[in-house]
Amino acid sequence: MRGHLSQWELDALALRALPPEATTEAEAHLEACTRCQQARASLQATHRHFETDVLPRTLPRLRARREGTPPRPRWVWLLAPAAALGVALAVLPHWRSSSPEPLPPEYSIKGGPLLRVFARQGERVEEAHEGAVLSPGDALRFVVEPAGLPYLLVVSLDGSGGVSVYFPYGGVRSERLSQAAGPVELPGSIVLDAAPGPERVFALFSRVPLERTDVEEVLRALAARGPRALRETRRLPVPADGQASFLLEKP
Amino acid sequence: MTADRLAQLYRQYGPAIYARCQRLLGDGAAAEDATQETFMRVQRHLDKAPDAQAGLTWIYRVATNYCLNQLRDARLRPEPVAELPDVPGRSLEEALADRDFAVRLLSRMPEKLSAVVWLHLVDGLDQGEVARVLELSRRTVVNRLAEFHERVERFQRKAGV
Repeated sequence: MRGHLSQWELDALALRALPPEATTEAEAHLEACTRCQQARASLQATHRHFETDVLPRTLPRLRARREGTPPRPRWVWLLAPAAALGVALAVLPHWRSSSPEPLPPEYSIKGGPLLRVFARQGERVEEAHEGAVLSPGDALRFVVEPAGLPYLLVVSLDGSGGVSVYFPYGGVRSERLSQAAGPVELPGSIVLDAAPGPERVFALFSRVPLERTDVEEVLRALAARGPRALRETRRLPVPADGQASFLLEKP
Repeated sequence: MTADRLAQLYRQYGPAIYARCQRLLGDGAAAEDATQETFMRVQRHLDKAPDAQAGLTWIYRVATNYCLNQLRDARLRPEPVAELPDVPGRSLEEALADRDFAVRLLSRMPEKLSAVVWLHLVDGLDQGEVARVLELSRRTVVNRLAEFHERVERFQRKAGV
């Protein structure tokens, strides 16, 4: 007399991956075994949850990763078109070649890693500062100075509690930067949507990767404290070795 | 691979990957992330797999190792305790049906043992199936299971069980 169906057999049965003889045997066992019936029912429920809830959310991200382009999220994350890229890069190389100006303290901890934000409004590209008032359709690019910390996770939180991961886009944990010193321009641009109110971007630098789920938990707790807390909080209680943040407002 | 083919493979194998990851990680959000990571790693193999059984073998191999590494990374591990979890009145196999116990026990084991132990003692695969999934010889599977049992006995002796 055979024992219970293994997890492999249950998964293979659901996938129609068992040979015919094994399928017949497994089905015969299922008819007589309550425990295995329950296990199969539980597996089927998990599959249904995947099909109705998980797949619609994750398939666009997978497509985007496969193609090497970020997907459309709540904020539209675009690769800058050639003309706008020309304008943006005209600003950024100039910034790189000149002596770095001292940055406002709100961007960084003194002596620590830095976050600089450049906003494209129409054809104009300018560095944006803490509290900048921006409009839907404006695009942002980020330049960081990691100060020797190799990993970066850039997340944002808006007034409605929406969380986004900007670098690595849609990622699940910090990504290693191409270099741990000197300015690093992060790929892609963010095009601002029409949702009004504050949004704060946090750049989390670290020696080991941080997990998005851990950071999300902290961000949701911050969101629960309201827009004022979002405006005033410049550091997150997460195990990052360096942080910088930037607040923007959309009327 | 075209976008349509990618979507087709994800629809076909995604439920199995997700169920596998959820079984290992015991958490919806982490399982979802692991599902995406696993799919990205196996998609080419799934595309070339001669049949669904071969595809499932790849899924088991990659998802099991990926998820066990996530657990070992201590992000999803239950709170550590100093001693081996107590399992009065139950066999080790029965105790391993408790995911929390299985994770805590395996966190004390060398990495090379975890996947073999999980597949055989938690998932119920026989030694031949474990060998096929992990691309090991059956002898290696047998040896690793023996090593696992020896280590458990040593823990129990130290704890005076």
